[in-house]
Amino acid sequence: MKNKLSFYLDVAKSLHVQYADIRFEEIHSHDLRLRNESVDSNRMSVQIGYGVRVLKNGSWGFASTNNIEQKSVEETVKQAVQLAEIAAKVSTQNIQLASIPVVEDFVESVAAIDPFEVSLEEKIEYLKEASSVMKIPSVFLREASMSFRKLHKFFLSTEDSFIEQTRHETGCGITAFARSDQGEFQSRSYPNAFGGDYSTFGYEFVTKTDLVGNALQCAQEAVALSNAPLCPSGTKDIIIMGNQMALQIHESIGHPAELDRVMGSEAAYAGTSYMTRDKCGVFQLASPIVNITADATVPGAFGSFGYDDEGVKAQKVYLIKKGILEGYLNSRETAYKTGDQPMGAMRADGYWNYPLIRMTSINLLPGDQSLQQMISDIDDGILFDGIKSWSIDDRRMNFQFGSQYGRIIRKGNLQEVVKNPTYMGESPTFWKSCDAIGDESHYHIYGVPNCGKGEPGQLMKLSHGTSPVRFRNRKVGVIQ
Amino acid sequence: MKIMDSNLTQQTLAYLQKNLSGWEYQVSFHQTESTMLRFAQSNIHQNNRSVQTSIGIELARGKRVARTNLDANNFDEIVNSIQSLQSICETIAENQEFSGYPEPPSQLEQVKENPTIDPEEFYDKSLSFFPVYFQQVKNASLEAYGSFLFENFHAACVNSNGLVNQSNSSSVQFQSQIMNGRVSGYSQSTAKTIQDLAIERVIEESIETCQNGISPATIEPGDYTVFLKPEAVADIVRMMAFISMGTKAIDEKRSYLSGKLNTKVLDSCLNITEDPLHPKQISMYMDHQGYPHIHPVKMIQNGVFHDMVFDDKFAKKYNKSNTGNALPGNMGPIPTNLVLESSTTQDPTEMISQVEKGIYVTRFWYANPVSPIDGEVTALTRDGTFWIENGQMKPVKNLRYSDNIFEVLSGILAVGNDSRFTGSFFGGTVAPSLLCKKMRFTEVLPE
Repeated sequence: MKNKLSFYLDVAKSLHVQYADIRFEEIHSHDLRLRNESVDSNRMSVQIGYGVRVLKNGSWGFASTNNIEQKSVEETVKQAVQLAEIAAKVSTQNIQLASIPVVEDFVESVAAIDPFEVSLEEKIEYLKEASSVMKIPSVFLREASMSFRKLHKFFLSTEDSFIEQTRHETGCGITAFARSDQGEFQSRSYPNAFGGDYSTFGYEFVTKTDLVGNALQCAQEAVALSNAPLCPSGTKDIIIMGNQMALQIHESIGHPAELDRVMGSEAAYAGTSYMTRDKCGVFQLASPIVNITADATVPGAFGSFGYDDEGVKAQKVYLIKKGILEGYLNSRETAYKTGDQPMGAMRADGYWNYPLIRMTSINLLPGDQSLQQMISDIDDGILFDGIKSWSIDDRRMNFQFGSQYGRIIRKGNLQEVVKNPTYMGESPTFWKSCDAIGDESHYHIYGVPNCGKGEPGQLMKLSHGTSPVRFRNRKVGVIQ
Repeated sequence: MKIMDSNLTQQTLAYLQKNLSGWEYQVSFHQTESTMLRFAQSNIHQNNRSVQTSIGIELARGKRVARTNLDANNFDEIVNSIQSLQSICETIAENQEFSGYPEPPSQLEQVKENPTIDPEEFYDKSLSFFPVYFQQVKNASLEAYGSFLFENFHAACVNSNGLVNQSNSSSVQFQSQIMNGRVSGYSQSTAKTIQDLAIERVIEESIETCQNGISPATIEPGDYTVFLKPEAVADIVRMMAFISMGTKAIDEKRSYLSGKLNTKVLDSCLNITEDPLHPKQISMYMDHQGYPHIHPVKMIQNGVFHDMVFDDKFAKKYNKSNTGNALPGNMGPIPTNLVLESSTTQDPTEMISQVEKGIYVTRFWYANPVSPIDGEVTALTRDGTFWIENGQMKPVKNLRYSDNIFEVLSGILAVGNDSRFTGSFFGGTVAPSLLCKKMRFTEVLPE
């Protein structure tokens, strides 16, 4: 393969580029979904192709195709070079790259059981069983799904790095939809909304997630929600459970820490960031108990990998230390501008996409309290569980997030269920109100399969490690 | 070369006809060519050219169904995949909701083919207008951000009932966001050809909005009269289509429109039609099952919820005609080419001049349903928010709205004559500016 890819890059070199790299990828996918125990969707796909990125005259060019015949190579590389030349002619930039070690490496998947070796019958039977358990009165629709990807990726650069990586991606989840006698419709998911939870483990992740064992509670909570009163409005102490905390970390810490946003190159679409460069090292963004890392090295985490799509080795770096903004997610290009080391966050959603600065596994490190301790110290509050709705401004400051499931906390005890619970705030003020973080026993890394960014739109796979967290005096419940 | 005429397509079809007697099948071929130039700080900092061919194959034996998508260009791999699907269909559990594939319409009406964008013309245009645009922005001490892109998409679809159809769609889009520190202005134009793109209008609007936005004031949250530019209206209509106008959501009583057929749901001056052949729409003329998507569906007439869109499955269920609205996956039929119109329109400047007190919104950002069945949506204003008082505009800080979007469009004071197309993930919306009686703004953003 190295020889084959070298030929591709030889074409680029002959066109006098400063730098070029090529990613060749083969991706196998299988998505399976049951609705009311019937196979609603059983889709497989195979994607094979390559993308070539070139730097010429200080500007980037990128082209990709799934035509892998040798004769298409020259044309694709020329197209990338042509785009770089056009960009250079109308721009004043002179893009430079921070240097990185040249590596030759092979990184193998951590999956113990290859999901593509598990029979379709076994997968369907498992989902059917989970779905059947949710079949209780008022639950009119039951969904159970699994999704798998197997990725084989090669990276070669004109700096002579050659990296081969294999990776498995496994996800599964269930959702119960309930309707009350009054026609109120609510849904509840396990272990999270949007297909459940995801990891880079193999089929063993499905077994561990235990959809069947959690299905009845999921269905019962959907029914309870359909009969529940609306979440009250006001200022209250809140506890955000791990699956919702993943969203909170994602939107108000992860995205604003992307250095392309900070430096303006995503301004027109995704937006900019409140974490401006002048704040690095000095800005008290959160309470001192908050420590957040970008860690692509945790085995099995959905945001882990061997090397990013620039050939930078996966790393663990601090974004927030003792509540202070400590660092950013970067690329070779932005690292050159800031004088930092590349930390390995440039990733593309498939060979057909240009790599962007993306989150890896952004993890809020555990605290020292049990969930019960955190609840017992609340007089008037609400517990939020499960992602339902999210909206945040283009600087990642003002947000409004909704959960699937709410519980009133009164005088230190969990009380009645409430529907459509929402909370809102301004990112730094919100994080500064954090006064308790759940301990290691509650810690889990949640996989996110659908982080949207860039134009053309890319969906990235990443993750967030967290325990339940308590915030004081927050505004809740906007719907009247 | 058209995708239907390619050797690979013809080989695949011949194989299916010869070897899949007694099977139901649906095969779709897609060919995409796209190029995007992204710019920031008045430099083209990223670009992306992609040429892809893919094939989707779905086989069914009774109610046992399996599907695969292939990027491959290799006939042997396609045959392997078909054989693999055949084995899966022998054993897989049944899909009780599977209802077969559409029959071909009695007459396949011919529709004029969409023009195709020439990449070289796109590159020539880029080289000629970007230097002028960047210089113009620099002269105003501002910075340009945005994107310039084209896409040529061609699809063909064949099924075992004898339906054979193909269509294409091309679009070119220019988006300009002009920034001065944190103050920004935005405009866009999307067209079928490069010649039809309103580049000058986009540049002028985005620069002017930015220049007028300096030193925004703070206003209190509350209910305000609101002037929405076409892109802001399109954002609301897109959300309405996604959470409420899909037939599956209506059928499963998950939609605000469930049980409201023939009921007034919007202001009586508004009509919303699914109309891919509308002169300002950009669309393929068939759906994802190859069924023609060419006849308008009057979904909202004079504010009354009048009709729904159908794919083959829901057309059979409701005993209605297939409107050609099948989408990929299992979302069910959703309108993707909506046109919002009114019989009476005004110039937007006149609309603004009649506002005593209200808010002007250029576009929205990060819209998301809070409670889909209630039509409750939240989103933020972006790239030009102004306070209007007695027709005069002053910049204000961005705002968050949280409101029932059906109620917002139930009180219309005026409709603009500035209708334009705004693209989205699937299709796009043609909409004019609207002056709405009331929208609930719940928060003010920091500058």
